[in-house]
Amino acid sequence: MGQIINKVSSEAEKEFISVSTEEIEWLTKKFPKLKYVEGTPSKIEGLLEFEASYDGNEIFIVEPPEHLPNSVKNVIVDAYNIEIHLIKNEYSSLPQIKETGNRIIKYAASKRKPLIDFHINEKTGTLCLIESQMEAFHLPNGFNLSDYLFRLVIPFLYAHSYQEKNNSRPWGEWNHGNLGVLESYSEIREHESLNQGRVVNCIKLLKIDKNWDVYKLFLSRENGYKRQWICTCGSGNKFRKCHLKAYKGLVMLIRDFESFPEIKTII
Amino acid sequence: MKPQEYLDEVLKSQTLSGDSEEIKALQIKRAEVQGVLEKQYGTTPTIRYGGSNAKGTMIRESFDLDIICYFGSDDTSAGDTLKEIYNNVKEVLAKKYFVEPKKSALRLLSNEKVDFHVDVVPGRFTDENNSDAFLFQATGEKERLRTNLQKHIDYVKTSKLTNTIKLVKYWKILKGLQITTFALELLVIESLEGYSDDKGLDKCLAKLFDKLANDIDNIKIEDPANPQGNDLSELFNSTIKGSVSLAASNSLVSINDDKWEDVFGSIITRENAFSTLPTIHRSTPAKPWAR
Repeated sequence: MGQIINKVSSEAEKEFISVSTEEIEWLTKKFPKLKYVEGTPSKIEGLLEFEASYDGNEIFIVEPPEHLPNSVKNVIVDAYNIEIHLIKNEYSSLPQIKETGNRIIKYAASKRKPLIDFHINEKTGTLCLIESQMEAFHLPNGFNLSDYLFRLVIPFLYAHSYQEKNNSRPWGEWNHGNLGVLESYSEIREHESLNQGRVVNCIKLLKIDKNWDVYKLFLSRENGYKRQWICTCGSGNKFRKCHLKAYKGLVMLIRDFESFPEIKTII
Repeated sequence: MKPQEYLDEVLKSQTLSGDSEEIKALQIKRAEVQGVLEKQYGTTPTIRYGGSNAKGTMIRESFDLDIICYFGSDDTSAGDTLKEIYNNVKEVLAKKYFVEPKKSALRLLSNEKVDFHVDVVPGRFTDENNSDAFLFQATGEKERLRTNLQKHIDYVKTSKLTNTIKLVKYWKILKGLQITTFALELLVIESLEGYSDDKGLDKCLAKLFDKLANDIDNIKIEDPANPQGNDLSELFNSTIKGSVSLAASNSLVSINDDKWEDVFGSIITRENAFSTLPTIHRSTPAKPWAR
């Protein structure tokens, strides 16, 4: 490993994300139109160019971008102006990224849809690349610039380009807010056995939500039989009929939570 | 690459998986069309998949979806006559789509004329068994065609030649042939009596091209749903026979020289297209989210 850059000696140190000199060299070589700017926090800014294709299951990103034969389906060659702030936020341990060309924002406006529908946080303007519980699945080696760009950033931008072109998204998306958190939890538990850390983390994420009081009732089972629960999306419909995957995640979370009496106090 | 391996690759490149974007889009459109029809007629008509999707012969280059909409033999909710049914269904669909009338089917396009690859086929069952059906024919001598969707599906599905049929459908597109898919399917099955995909796709195609190139006038095709009643001569007239025979003859020369790529083109799979490039990053994309 090379020298660690972006170290700061403040209370906020733990919130900054470090990149090595080798990673910066790698970045400059692979993406010459992106540049690293040291600061507090440091950032990466400029034009991100890519060529990628999606086969219905996996995304293939060509590096460096070259024109693929026409016979390869869903090829997109595109570029976005971005700014990556090397700092964590309350939901994620990954850097915060903005699309500074405002292309996605303009597209959302043209469709008369809220930014959240295009996975942009309306308060901060940052892109919601991934639900935080899923980070370990997609970046199993933790954060590094290469995986971050090739596994999260470019696929996200590819999906937007695809949507502009085809008026539909190439792959699925989580529901907004805590429904997405619960959907993720449900999916994680399909692949992973019971894990106290996961339960704690999921509840921590739920606690940030405006509906936490409702979830708290669910978790403590104070409001009766779960089949009668009303969905937290505000539809007024029964939860299980409204957002089934989130409902499954919630039921699973409650069951898992009860398996660890020692963490009862976290709610 | 051996001929069979090459043809397997061609087939693979033309196969649409159930979760492909094209199929998903068709399924969504199908549900939408069904919704439009049921809103108008309730659940009275029988709405089902027909065409290559039901037969298992859909290919990437031509992935139209046929949706049949058959009314009961004594159901007059869409009209008394076949023509009235055809026109009534057309009007109902025209409230939401741009409808392009075809001989018996109604092709759906968006109002901006984007083709959804969806055909709706209105008709009426001949009796209460809900098996045979009559279709309206907007062109041709007869205004009424007797057919049987299930017999068509079974005829193709049980032929053991569905992969050969897929390749021949692709061949038809590559050679710009005007023969209908229905006639082509019948032609393949009739010409390859005693053959099956298992015998080898290269052998099936060689036999087929030989038959089409040298003996096309002796091939008789009949509608399995109504062998004596439906005249298919229009679908397989001398002009069509001439162009199919010529294309088969040229293809036969190519495969006799072991030049299969002259018939179906070079194979550029996703893997080997990328293999010539410096680095490929492949991953399962993460679903985006928003707080």
